[in-house]
Amino acid sequence: MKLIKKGLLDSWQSLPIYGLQHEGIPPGGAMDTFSLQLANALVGNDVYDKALEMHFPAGVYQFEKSTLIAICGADFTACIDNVEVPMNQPIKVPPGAIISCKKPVSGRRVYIASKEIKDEQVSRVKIMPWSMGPEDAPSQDPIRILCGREWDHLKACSQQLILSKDFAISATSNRMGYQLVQEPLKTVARTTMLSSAVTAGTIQLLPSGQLVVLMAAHQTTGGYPRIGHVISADLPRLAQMGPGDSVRFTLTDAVTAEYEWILQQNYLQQVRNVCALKLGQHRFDHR
Amino acid sequence: MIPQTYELGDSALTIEFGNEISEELHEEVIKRFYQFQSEPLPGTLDLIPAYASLTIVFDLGQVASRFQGLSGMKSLIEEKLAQPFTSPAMEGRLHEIPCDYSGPDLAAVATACGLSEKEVIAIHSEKIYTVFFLGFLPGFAYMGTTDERITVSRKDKPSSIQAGDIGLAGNQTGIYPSASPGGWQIIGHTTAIPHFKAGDRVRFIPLEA
Repeated sequence: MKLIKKGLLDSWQSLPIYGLQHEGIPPGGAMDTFSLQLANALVGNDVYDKALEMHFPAGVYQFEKSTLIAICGADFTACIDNVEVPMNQPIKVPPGAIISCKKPVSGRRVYIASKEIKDEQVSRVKIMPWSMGPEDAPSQDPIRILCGREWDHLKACSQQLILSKDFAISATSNRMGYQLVQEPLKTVARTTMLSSAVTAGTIQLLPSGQLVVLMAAHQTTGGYPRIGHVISADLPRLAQMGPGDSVRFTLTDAVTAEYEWILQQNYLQQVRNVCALKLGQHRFDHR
Repeated sequence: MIPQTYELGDSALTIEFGNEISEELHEEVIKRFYQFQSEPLPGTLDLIPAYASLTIVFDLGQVASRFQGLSGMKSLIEEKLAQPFTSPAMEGRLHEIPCDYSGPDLAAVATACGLSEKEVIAIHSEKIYTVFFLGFLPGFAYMGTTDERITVSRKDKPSSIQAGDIGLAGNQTGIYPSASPGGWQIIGHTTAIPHFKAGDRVRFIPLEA
């Protein structure tokens, strides 16, 4: 893909890369790993392949070769050669085609997975007749969290506030973390903490009484009280929110967190299997 | 203190050995870091040592479906902690780092500590420090503990810091591996930044002016 016009924050992202955090190197990776994996699955890419992550205004790119693509995550009214194309569906694009995003409709981050088509010269845009994405509108349910080690440092009224009020995502939020805005939370006693490891989804209490949720580009360690943790299965949904949105939290338990994660992973594996089969079948028919 | 293991979200466990910065606690952290590195628990993605804790990040799918989730891993961790462990790697290396003590905050540090600049340099360079862990920036080593005579607070406002700058904060010292905004008090600079590992030891050698 050739860059025609740079977007606000385009980057190629994969799943997080673990194994170097003891060197201070964070795992990083895509913000919405669910959409990333879905896009890769739709075009038959490997699980660890990179896809283009874009925010709005998104970049404009030109395909240099016949390519199979899939657009997942945020709906930015993606167009190929100025004609709107569906999301969550594999699309064949000819060499020279240009992809652009016209208008943000929902979500904050779009993922475009691409795979070169080697055995066919594509002459026009062709939408594959199978859609695999989530059929329902994105869930509006509260983001589920687990209690953090320092949850008890909060006064009961502040714990109650976290679980009942909307938190606004501030304009200073980025891929490292979301700063949340609410009335300042109160702690039982001021305790000093030693820095230790943090993860994506860790909710820290800043000295100002405000919360920050660590996101994909978080650092490896931190020294603020850990009030809670967004469950892994809900991180992609949070990643599709941004400044101006508000988020509500609800408590869940480890068993639910694991169950929801496995459900999501099983779904993605199912999509991978079906797509691999359909893409293989399609190649066979084409010959 | 008996180590306590607690959940850090749904896919990591932190083993807490204590709640203070001390070389004894840190030795235990490093020992267990090498133990879990050489005999990894199933599904381990990352091992993150800190001052007095070691965090193990797991592949949740693998751990949940085959090992009864994090609670299952907790008992495996306790079994491991009950076993003695020793490894030559725990010793770490001694790095001698030439340091040009002409940092922009040296004078302010000296004033704040009621010392001369020469005394600050002498005190900072006489001790052998331990690399507690790497964090904040890739390759940023938290080292300590510094002599209490040169304990200084962080700056109120982060300033822009160059790669190789050597700073003080609290009873810690560290080298910025890359340019970054930072709140540490910069007392010196080096052009030789080694590849640190947690558990290494460091001595600063003042460059002759």
